[in-house]
Amino acid sequence: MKKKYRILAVVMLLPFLLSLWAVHRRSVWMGIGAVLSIFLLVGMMPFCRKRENLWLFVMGIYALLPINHFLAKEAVMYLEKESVLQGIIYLLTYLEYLLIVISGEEVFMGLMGRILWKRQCKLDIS
Amino acid sequence: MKYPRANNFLEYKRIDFDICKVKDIRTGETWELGMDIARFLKKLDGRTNPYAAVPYLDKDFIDSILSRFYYEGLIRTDGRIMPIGIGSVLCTLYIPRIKRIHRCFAKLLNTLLLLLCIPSLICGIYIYVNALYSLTDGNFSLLKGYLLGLGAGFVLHELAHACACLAYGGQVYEFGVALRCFLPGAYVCVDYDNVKSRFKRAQINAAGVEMNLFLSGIFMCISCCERLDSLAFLYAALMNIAMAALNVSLAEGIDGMGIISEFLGVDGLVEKARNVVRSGKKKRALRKKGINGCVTIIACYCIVVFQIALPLILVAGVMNCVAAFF
Repeated sequence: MKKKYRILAVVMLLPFLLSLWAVHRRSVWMGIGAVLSIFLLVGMMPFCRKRENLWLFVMGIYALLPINHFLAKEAVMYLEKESVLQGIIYLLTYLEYLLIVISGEEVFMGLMGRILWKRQCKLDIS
Repeated sequence: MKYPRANNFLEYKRIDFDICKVKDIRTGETWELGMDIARFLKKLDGRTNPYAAVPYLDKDFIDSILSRFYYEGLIRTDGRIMPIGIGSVLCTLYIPRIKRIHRCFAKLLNTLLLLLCIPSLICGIYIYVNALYSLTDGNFSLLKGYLLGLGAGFVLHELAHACACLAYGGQVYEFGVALRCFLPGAYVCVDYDNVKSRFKRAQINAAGVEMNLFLSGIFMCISCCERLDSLAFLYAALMNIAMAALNVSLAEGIDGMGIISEFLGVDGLVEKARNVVRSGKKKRALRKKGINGCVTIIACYCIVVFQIALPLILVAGVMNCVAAFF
């Protein structure tokens, strides 16, 4: 990998830091900023060209993980964790909510990605 | 009396003056039949006596055609219930006959759904938040709400898929109820291979979720009416929101994965991602493509991990039931 690309890849960590900050400060605007920064970075980085939806998919998962974790944790707040069974239910429900929140975000970001960048290469995994 | 029914997954295409190409969209098998024979096959709907359908043909000749149809799988023999795996069964309820008027109506409904799903939800939430104090509780509100929400949600969700598919020129083959990994649900069998636009294909997948959001908005609006059992309607709205949330999950066979597959431009995404994860050769080939190849491998791993969503929902549901009893 070229050195330039390595530096650019490190820049790709910015949305993750932003979403971490958004959770820490409980700021909705920072969260929106984190999402926007993903789109901005994907639009700017040369190696993302024509593969924007793929990058949005991967970046959406890791960069917004703190926000998704926070949302899923808030959603299962009503569950008790006193016994082992309740603990297992808490964990399963948390994971279920986490996956659903991430899925919803991915669908939304995929839609926006296709609207913003119409001409894209197919994912080559055949 | 039970008469033979033509396989409802057949696609008829006239290729010559007197020859019709018939294709089974499930198996991909094709046959070339004479126009008269194809017309006869089309008439076999399970309610029509085959001998009365074409009175000008000889009885022995009809018998020989029918036996050929049975032999080649052009007549449906598997009944209404079709097992498709462990804990998964399809049960056919309705086989539609699509006419031009249905397509016009579907276009109208699909446009309305696209325009109204989000405004209806926002409007419902706004009205509900502002009229929270007026909620009234009736008898068995919870049960009524669940039944109303599930019933309307399941039926209209599938109808929305069918409408979107017909609106964009696809085909609708059958409606039914299904068990998928022991989870009850409904299904509609559609074919939209002739739809080329990725956006349109994604919208066919997303139509069900749009309908659930639309319904939840409507139920929230109704729940503010004091004369009705508003708590039941509120539960129905919540059920539809839950259904919309479950349907966007990226599990195989669920609408969310269909939408993402269209956006990433790959058909059969889960199977292909599994193959990449399993095969070291494919991973090495992808790594050679540089950073984009590496990201593709990560995306494949993510897609495979997302497949635990459906079993997770099932296990969480069972555990919740167990916890409710103990």
